[in-house]
Amino acid sequence: MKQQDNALETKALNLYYGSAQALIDVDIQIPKNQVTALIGPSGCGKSTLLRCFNRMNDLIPDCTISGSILYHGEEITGRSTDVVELRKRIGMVFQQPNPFPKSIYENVIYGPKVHGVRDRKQLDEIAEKSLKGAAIWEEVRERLHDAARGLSGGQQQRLCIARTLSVGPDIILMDEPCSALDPIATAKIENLITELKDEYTVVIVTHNMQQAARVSDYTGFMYMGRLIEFDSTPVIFEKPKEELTENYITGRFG
Amino acid sequence: MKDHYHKELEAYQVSVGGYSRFAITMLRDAFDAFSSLDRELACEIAGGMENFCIQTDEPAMHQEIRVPRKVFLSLRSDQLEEQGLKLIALHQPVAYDLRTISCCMNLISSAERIGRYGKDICHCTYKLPEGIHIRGMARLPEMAEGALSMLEDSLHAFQTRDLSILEGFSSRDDVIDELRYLIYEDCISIMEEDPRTIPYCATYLLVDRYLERCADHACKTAEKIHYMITGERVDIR
Repeated sequence: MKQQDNALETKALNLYYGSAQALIDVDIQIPKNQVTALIGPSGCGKSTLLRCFNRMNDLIPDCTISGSILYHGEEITGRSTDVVELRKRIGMVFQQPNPFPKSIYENVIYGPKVHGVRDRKQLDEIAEKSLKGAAIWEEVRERLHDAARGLSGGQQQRLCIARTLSVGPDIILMDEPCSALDPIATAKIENLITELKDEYTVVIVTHNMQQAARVSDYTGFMYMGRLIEFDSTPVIFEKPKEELTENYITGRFG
Repeated sequence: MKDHYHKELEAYQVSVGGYSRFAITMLRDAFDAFSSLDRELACEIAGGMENFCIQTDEPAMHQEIRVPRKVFLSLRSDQLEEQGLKLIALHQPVAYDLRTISCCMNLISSAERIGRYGKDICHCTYKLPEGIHIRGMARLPEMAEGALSMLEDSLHAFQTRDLSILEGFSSRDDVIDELRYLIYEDCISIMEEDPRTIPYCATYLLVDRYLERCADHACKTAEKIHYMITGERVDIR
């Protein structure tokens, strides 16, 4: 794979929470405009790795890292990296939908406003574009000024994706985005993920292996802090090379 | 400790192996019935000709009801297919587990075909008079042994996951194909020599064809087993 095709790349990445090592020599390359899934049992380090990509781990005391993380070839672990700017470019969606206690419209334009956009017309355009991008526009266009918390869980999650899109990222990180949703809402998010990759690079952490198999192009299997196997998704789910991966995906673990 | 699902999956493979064994035995017995022109055995396998085949002095109401093996063959095939589909639907297997179920499904439909060729061979038995065959049945016994041993070996490979058993399947299948044409030519010249042999030779040609198909099923099954174990596709013949 050519260097410029990777949206994100880590080299010999090690991460410690205090003295406990959570990531061990992780080398991973996240291809641009593709969906990459990270799977593995609880505590394997997949969420920790995801949070490294937009420096969410900075917020955790005692968290130290070594090795490098490259965003489009550029080192992002250093002190000189503008973390606010980085998180604008690399957005994140969490397991529990977490809209602000504001209107739908205010939720979406919150980011752009913080970043200095004041023009009402421009904000309206951003809101429409983001809500369309998150496949929720048709459902909310008539009630943009209703409370976001009044939406269903699946709608709230898509609203959170719209909120992420509003600041113009090129990478979207998703940490278990469907775990709190019913099957229909899950299917909508999965469709959306597939559509998003035309414009964005998506990295998704999931416990649902069928979901990883359905939505992703590449899959990484992690275990006890290490990236055990990384390959195209069909290979991982049809004939993985590592016995550990096979045992995990076929449910023969532990 | 194995979970419920993997125990179920293992039990399923055992059932499918058992069904495959049943079909191969049905074919073997059918060929024996044909060789010895044993209509009673043929009827026990294929049914449909009870009045013609089974002589008994018992009054009708005292005769035991016999269900020919072909009925079980067809019922069991559907049952096993449904069990496989249920495993897929409920557990969404991947990797080796999925390949195993896929291989089982293939084995089921091959086994049913093989059993039905056995039934067809029994129908050939009905067509010939009781007594003995002509010309040592051309070389059909040799061909039957070849095809049956391939079927036995492919089943054995499925049960033991030992791929080495499948080595040489291509050349064994070539031998069967060669025999097929030799028998064909032989039958034509025997019939030309003496038209009274036609009823015999005509059935030999049919059995010839059925046995060749069975060996082909053994090869296809061998390919599926190879895929189940390694995840790689191979072309056997």
